[in-house]
Amino acid sequence: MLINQILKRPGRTILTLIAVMSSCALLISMLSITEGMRNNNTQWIEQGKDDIVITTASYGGNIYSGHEIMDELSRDLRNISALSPILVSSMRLKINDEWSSIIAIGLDPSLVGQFLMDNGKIELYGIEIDIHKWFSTTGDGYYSNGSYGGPFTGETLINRRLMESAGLQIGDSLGLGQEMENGTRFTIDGYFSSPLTGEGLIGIGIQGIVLFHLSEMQSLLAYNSNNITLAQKDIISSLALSISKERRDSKSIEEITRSLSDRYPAYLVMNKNDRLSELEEQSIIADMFYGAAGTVTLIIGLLFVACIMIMNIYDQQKWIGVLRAIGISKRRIFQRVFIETLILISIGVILGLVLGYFTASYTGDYLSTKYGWDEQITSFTPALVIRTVAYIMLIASIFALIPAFKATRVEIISAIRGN
Amino acid sequence: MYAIREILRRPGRSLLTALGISFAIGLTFCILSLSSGIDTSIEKILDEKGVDIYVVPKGTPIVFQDIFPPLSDGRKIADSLMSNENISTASPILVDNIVITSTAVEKIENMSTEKYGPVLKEINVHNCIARGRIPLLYEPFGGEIIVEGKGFSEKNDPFYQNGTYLKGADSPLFTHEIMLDGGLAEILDADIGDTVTVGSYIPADMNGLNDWINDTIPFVVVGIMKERYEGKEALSCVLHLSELQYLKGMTRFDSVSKIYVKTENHVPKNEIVKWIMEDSPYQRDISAYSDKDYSTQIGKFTSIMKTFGSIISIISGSAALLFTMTVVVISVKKRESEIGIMKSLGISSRTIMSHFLIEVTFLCLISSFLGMLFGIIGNQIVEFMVRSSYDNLPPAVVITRVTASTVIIITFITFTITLISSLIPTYIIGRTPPIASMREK
Repeated sequence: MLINQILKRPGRTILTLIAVMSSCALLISMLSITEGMRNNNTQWIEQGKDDIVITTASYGGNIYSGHEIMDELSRDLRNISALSPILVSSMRLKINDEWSSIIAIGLDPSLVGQFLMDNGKIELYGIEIDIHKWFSTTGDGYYSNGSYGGPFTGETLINRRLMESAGLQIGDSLGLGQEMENGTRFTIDGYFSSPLTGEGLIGIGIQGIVLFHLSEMQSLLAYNSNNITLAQKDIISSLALSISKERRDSKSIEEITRSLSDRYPAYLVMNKNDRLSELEEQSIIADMFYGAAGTVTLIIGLLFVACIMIMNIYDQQKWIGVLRAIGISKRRIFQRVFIETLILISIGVILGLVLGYFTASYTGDYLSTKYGWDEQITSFTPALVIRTVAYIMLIASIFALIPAFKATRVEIISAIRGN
Repeated sequence: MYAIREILRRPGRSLLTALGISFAIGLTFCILSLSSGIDTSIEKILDEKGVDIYVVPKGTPIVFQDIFPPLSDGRKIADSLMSNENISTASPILVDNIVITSTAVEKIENMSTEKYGPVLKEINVHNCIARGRIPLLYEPFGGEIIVEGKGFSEKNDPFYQNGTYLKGADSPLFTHEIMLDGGLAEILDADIGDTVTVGSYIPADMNGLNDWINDTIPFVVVGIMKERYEGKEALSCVLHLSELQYLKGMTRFDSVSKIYVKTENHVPKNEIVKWIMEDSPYQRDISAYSDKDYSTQIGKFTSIMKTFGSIISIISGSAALLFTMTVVVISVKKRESEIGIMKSLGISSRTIMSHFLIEVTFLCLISSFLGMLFGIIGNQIVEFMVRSSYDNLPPAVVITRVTASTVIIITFITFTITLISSLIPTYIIGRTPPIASMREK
């Protein structure tokens, strides 16, 4: 009935479909941003071998006596199968007489190796690292027997983008501000890929990443910070723990987390569930903002459909009157208008999904370039599509009720008379 | 009256159209208010600081000024900057992390036989951000906002003693004065006159506890400050510069994180920035940014959200425009015979068009007011949700702000929707000959 009316008036139908399509595309592409951010982070947390992370509870804080804590924890063979300390700090690097700001990450190469994921990559402080050439010297020999007197390797790994943009090669030495007093130098021993491009918004603050042996970075940091006591405090930023296979059930992990929290009350001890909950909390505001903005636009589109359908009913009043006169029930007319409205919306939604796919992809590229992070930021997954379509159809069903009720209120006599 | 009667004759259609437009306007209103809120927050935070030029170690990005390795010879650099007659104040500042507890050292000593975890829990040590300042030099920037206590009794930095830091914490020149922000004072349950124990690190175990006790320094709370832009999440305190340097073992090179500069009003800041970067005695070691540079850099981080907000507004506005336009065109087409009769009676096309223009304008005006009302309600919801999600939101943060430009933009959108959705269809009808219109029926 109304389908004929819809086809008879292609102009208004096309305009209606454009409105539904664009609002649906906007909603799904907005949601693909938060979905992407959440998926990327969730994936790292779930796939990572770090079952528990010990870190500082406050901004800019450090964990002190890192090696001592590690020694203590490594004796807990029943619960802990591997652990790896990480020190993260910002630093300035002088390349070709230009200063670059970098993230410096100190690690023990042999310990970090235990946390390599199945795809051969590793996540360090939220950054995906794909190693192309690893440190020549494994271990962290400069720190030995509680002091910093072992062999100093000066080995560093640098991210490929920075290496290429600065024209650096393996074997080149790095200008890390002041040369250390003891004449030690840092040279490039290998390189790795990471999503950081050194450009965009992140590039304003961070142009590259350099990996160091932990104890060598502690010394460098102490020297660069003019803080003579810093190295003695053996600072680290976090400690990743892998739980032994026998204790990897959720109850045991919770128990170990609690026990570590009691043992180190000044630090934050988080297992994967805690980190996922924290992530979920952080996503709520973004979800609300993008979801609400998309929903309002969707409602405008749906109001449009409802209004057009009411006008179509008005045009078809006589026909509806005839149907009612020959005994077609109000319920049948209601169902028919309701379904036809939903069909019109569904066509708009399908077109919107296609447009949304391209919009999400474009938005992802735009955000990657804008942020300087070479990783697909948006995520257009089947789960997202199902969720969004279900959400749209739920709201659409409410709006489809308006013309459907209107159709049932057509009075037979006046409709046939054409009033 | 004719126009209003027409709107009321089809209440369902008019209501749905008005809702469509008002939702689009409400959404745009919210997005513009959020955008203004962000700008105001940045402005307020920078204004609160009262800094004209930020001097940081060479190559340090201004937005991350506190997390990069510090400058050496902080005071010498600050003095050298003062050689420029257009610089009225140069205040060196060190920002670093310290640990703090309200538990007295004697009490901690008595705990040393217990287990490490429970002892540390009882000591109740907190990491916090410490700012080392020379109070006298910081005053031109507005000083601290003290809500309780008198603040530092010594406005200079006497313990520095020409870089000798003689006798350490036992020196009679070591003031032992500290000011806590409201959040930190609350957590420590510290009041004016109370003694707090301050250290530079957290002991690793019970063996390290005695060393730690020896390394800590007692400070007396002389002021409780209002939290600034960092809010309660980032606990902070203020010490005399040299005392923080001593606590952190950073006395050797007179380390500072940055130098705040105040300039004479009549001189363009960019010129002074240029002088600092190119001609000042320490130009090889330092970078300088004006407050405008700083705000531009921060603005880059918020630009993405603003871009998205604009896109959302444009799409929803376009949907509303399509909606209104279609409804008006259909409505006009339905009244073709009426228009034909009016034309044949000698009523000019202009008069007929003005009827429709008034009808659409009236509809859009109602929608605009309704939209602004939705926007205000939306703002309240956003405020509530953000503030309830972040308990300790910094006081300087403004979430939504309605400005004159918000109202002007909304008026412009309403005007555009009205104009496009009324002129096009009425123009079409105005061109339709009376006979054709009447024949249509």
